[in-house]
Amino acid sequence: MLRRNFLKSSVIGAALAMGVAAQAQAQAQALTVGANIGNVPWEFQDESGAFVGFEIDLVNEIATRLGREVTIENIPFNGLFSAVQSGRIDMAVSSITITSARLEEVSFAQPYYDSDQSLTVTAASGLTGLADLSGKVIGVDTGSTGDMWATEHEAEYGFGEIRRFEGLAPAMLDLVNGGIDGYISDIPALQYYSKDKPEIVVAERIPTGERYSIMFAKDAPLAAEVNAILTDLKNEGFLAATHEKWFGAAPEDTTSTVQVMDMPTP
Amino acid sequence: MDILDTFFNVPVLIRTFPMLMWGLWVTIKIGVVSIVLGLVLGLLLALVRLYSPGVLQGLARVYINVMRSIPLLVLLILIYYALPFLGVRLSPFMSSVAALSLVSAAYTAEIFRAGIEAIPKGQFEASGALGLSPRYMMVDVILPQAIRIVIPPLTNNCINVLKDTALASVVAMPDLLKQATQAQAVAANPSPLIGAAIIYVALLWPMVSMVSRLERRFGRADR
Repeated sequence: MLRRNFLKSSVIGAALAMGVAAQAQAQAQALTVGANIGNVPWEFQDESGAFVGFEIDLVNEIATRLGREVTIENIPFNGLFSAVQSGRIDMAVSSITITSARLEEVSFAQPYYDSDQSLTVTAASGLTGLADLSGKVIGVDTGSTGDMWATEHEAEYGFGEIRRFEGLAPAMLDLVNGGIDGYISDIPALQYYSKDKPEIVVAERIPTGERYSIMFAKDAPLAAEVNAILTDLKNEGFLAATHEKWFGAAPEDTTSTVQVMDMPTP
Repeated sequence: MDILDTFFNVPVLIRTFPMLMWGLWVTIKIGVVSIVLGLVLGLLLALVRLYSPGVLQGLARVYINVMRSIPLLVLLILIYYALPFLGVRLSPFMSSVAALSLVSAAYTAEIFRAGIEAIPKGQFEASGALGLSPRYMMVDVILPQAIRIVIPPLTNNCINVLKDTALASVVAMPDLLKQATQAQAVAANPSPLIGAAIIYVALLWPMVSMVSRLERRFGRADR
């Protein structure tokens, strides 16, 4: 009898404890954000090892407004898609371009940055633009919009070969080594990267009219909530200020960094 | 979006199938060339390790130990990204083959050495008594018996080499796994990864089951 009572009370106690824990978890459940750390100036580590960048500032502000803590998970760009779909992370940032193919599989909030592709070469190569690239080896990031652009225009510009890298750092190493002649990727990252490196130059802007946004699992309720917060952040000038902080200039009034936009639909 | 739509999305699989097949071809090319080079180098290395004069034997032992200890990924990055500073510029294909066969040779050498050492001493003595030169003793007596012993572990090593080709993606080689991750980003759906996994299994299953069959057969013959 005594034993049974003990058992009973401990079962009830455990259940209560679990209930309390679950409640506490629901209240303070951290917002898990996936990001491809190393993607300057969007999300990268500073000397102290802390995650910093335009999109880190943005998700921190969004989390504050949602009343939740933030946990950043470092996930390679290609892994972000399955990570949001499987629910491993709540949302993903990494200068992700909204495309119609991606909208079939995932959801995006309204865009907050207008971007283009760019061609980066070494200063020593003497290459001045895409027109010089016939028969040359170019590098891209696997599965990026730069990869898609280069694949579509391979015949038009007569690229000798397209090599696909796992990010900016190895591609830049190979560019300086002479393994590749040019690198096609998002222009803001390359402008930021080449800023203090005279041996590397952004030779040409490739207009593609891309827009970045935050990615969610398909039709996640969180997407609409974050979309509404982005509207506030644009109206209050938070995004313009963040742009100025990381790019040293205010965004133009016509860009999606300033203009409130609709949530993209497939 | 449930798990089937996300991971077993048939339209996505069909759409990305040609990309995966292209990747499979690259994987097979890298794998086969590395396996063949690894076998030849490994056999030579085993003979040097067993029968050459002291200094060479020591060098072979150092090589085998270093190559078995170094992570393949590190070796691959050194060959592709660091050698150009010394003026050696290998293509992604050559870098992948070099790294894989250098490491495979070390493992193969140890397998061959174990096989040769497993041959009873009497066989060596009998060959000597018959007046066979060391070369004929190896080619006609010892190696035919040793190879039978080493086929199952060698096949295991080949399977490992084929799986390790996936590391070639870090040197921009479009192998099967790389093509799958690329297809995954283009379609924003991870089904191509499952497609790649199925192809890997289909490719390696016959080799894996062959190892078991051979092990059973040789096991019987010994009794």
